[in-house]
Amino acid sequence: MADLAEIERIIAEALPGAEVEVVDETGGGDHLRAIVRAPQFEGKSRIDQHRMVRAAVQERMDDGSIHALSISTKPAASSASREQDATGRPAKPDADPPGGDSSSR
Amino acid sequence: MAVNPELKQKVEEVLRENRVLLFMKGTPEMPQCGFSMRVVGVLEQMGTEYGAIDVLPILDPLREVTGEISDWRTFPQLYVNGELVGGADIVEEMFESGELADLLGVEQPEVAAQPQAEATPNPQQSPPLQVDGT
Repeated sequence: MADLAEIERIIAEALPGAEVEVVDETGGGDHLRAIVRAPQFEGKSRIDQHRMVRAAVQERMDDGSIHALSISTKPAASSASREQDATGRPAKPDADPPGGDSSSR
Repeated sequence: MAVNPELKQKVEEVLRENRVLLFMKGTPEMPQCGFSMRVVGVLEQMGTEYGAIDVLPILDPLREVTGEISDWRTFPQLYVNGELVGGADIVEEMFESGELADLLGVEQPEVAAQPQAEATPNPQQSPPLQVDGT
């Protein structure tokens, strides 16, 4: 079974400067979602962004410690165009849940 | 496992012939996987024509082929103009943001992701049967 913090670390190491959050979607430890914000995503298509994240965790997929990993990628916070409201202002940062301290296991 | 060159050729052929092509588990009428079902749901809402290939009968050889063509081995996979767009997560994100409509060259459906419950009147409701005893 995969350790969430370890997977966060693996992704963060592969994408320096990235904000990474890995959550356990089912509580069973094998259906995970990685939410990744990285400067490297700038100018890349979504599929390429996903490829970059997936490449980082490929080994853990291959050895079966991650059964299913959903990926959500976002451009780095400074250019989060998707989260701007109609006036073009960036979305409030509190849209994100506090990271790192979710230990509901 | 090595890539079957005949299968690869066939895949490249259907990619050329179908501007919008979905590799999925099952069929649009009867998806065999929740992720495939989600992509079908999006495509149906877009009202675009698309080809669908059921990967289940040839799952492993096909994985190898798509791995080689587009560096992606999990299904579903949606291709537009021969290019891999993504799987269920990406397709849904792009649907919600309107990017998918742009890519497909269609109008973003207005009632996106809303239940259609109110759209159709209840067809079950027939007038009460009247038996007039005259």
